[in-house]
Amino acid sequence: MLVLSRKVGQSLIIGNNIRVKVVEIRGQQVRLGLEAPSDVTVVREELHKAVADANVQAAKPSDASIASLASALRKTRPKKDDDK
Amino acid sequence: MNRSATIEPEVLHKERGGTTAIVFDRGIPGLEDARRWELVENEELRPFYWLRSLDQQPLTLLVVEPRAAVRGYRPDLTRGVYERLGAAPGSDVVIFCIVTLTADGAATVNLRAPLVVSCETMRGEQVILEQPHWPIRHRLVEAGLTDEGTGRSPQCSSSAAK
Repeated sequence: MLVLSRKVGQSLIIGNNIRVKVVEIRGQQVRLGLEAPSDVTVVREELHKAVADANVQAAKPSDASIASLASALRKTRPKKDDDK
Repeated sequence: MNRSATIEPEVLHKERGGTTAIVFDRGIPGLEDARRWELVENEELRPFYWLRSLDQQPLTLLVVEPRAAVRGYRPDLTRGVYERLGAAPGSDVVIFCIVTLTADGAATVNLRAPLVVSCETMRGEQVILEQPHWPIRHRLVEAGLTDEGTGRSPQCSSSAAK
């Protein structure tokens, strides 16, 4: 991992077109400003991880859980949906 | 920006003459090796669908039309989302949310990171929304389905709905 020191107001350039700027430092918290082209997505790491974990869990449904969902749906689904 | 036209998933089939591969160029977080997916419909299961991997079988996700899970779901789709899908801003997209089933019978739906599929390009992306009020694990079964999701009315009057 590359480790660099920056002061408030200073930036980094990643590649040719991604800029990361230190906007503010308050105690333990650093506020960053990001400029990136639209083909680059920027997301907090913990959020990305939470989504990935949920995806992995979703990809392994057990037969029992599917049966349970099916029965729950039959209870909640309005009658009008059965008219055909 | 919130003018996305959300349309019925069936359009993905009808307009493509049976070709139903949806390509997630960037992969889906945690499942990056699976890029090409196929939407599998089952009348009994509606408003749920299976999204089946064409690259990594038997990888399958259960997805749901979000309006069946929650009222007033309006994810903010930025211009960048459309650009990454190779589609015109505001063009027709289909939105699904991934359902997680747990062994104890609970079902949650991921409203924070919907799957957005362009009808034009058949490319998809799991968009992680900036809007923090949509949870990753929204309890589905306890809350029951909304009336919206079980009806048959199209959600918009876009060209795809004709």
